[in-house]
Amino acid sequence: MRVDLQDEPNAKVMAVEGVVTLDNCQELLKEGKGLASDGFVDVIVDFRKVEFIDSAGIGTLISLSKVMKDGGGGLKLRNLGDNIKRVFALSRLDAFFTITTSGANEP
Amino acid sequence: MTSNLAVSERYSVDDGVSFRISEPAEVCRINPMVASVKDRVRDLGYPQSAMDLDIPLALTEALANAIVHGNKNNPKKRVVLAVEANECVFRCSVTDQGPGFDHSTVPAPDFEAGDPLTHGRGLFLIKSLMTEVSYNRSGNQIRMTLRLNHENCPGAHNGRIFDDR
Repeated sequence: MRVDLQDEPNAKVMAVEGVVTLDNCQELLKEGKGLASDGFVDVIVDFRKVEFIDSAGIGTLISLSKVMKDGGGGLKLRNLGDNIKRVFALSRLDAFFTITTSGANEP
Repeated sequence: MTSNLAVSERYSVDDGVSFRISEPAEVCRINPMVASVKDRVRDLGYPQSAMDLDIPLALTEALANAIVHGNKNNPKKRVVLAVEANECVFRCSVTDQGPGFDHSTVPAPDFEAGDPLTHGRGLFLIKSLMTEVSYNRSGNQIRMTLRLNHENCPGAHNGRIFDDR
């Protein structure tokens, strides 16, 4: 898994690439907590290049969402592919997360 | 590729594939094991959703449970994944070397909770993705079946990998 940090006008974007699973989700948690401790609590996780997520990955996103909310911001998820969307729907978390389709500066 | 995995072709099925993968109980083994299974069933003509989601996610969750909860992340213990599959049915078992547990005691996730837990979804996802899920008596083996709905698939498949020890 690779995480690229990008700036948008009102948020930091974590553009994730690869798979988000038990084996590597701690990296994502660490990266997100780092943003929060630097004062960036409005964060978007971009899934455009994510191929696969498991329940540990989902759990990590719940943790990060709580971290951002506790800091006065929030976590949004963006550009989920069909398979990723289905995992969130099966987990009945599609209402818990704010899920968007595309960034303001993307086609 | 899968050459670094301990894969053995111990079963022969005329119209499909059958194999076992045995690995030390380490979470870093999960993704390569799942990738190996996908490689080996690739020619069976499964729908993309089964190849990209149903099979890999169910396997990932079962292996994670076996390694983390069953074997307590002890790399001296092993996790064994056995697969028997043809174009109509994907059957697999995941066995750990833990004492086993009563799967009926695992609660379903609380979907009404406004503050969802970060864990406890694995077994629920497996049951959502697979056609049938069962366990051996001692509770250290999960058996999962995904039936593919091809028109030319008969109802039953006589798999042999699941004994009732």
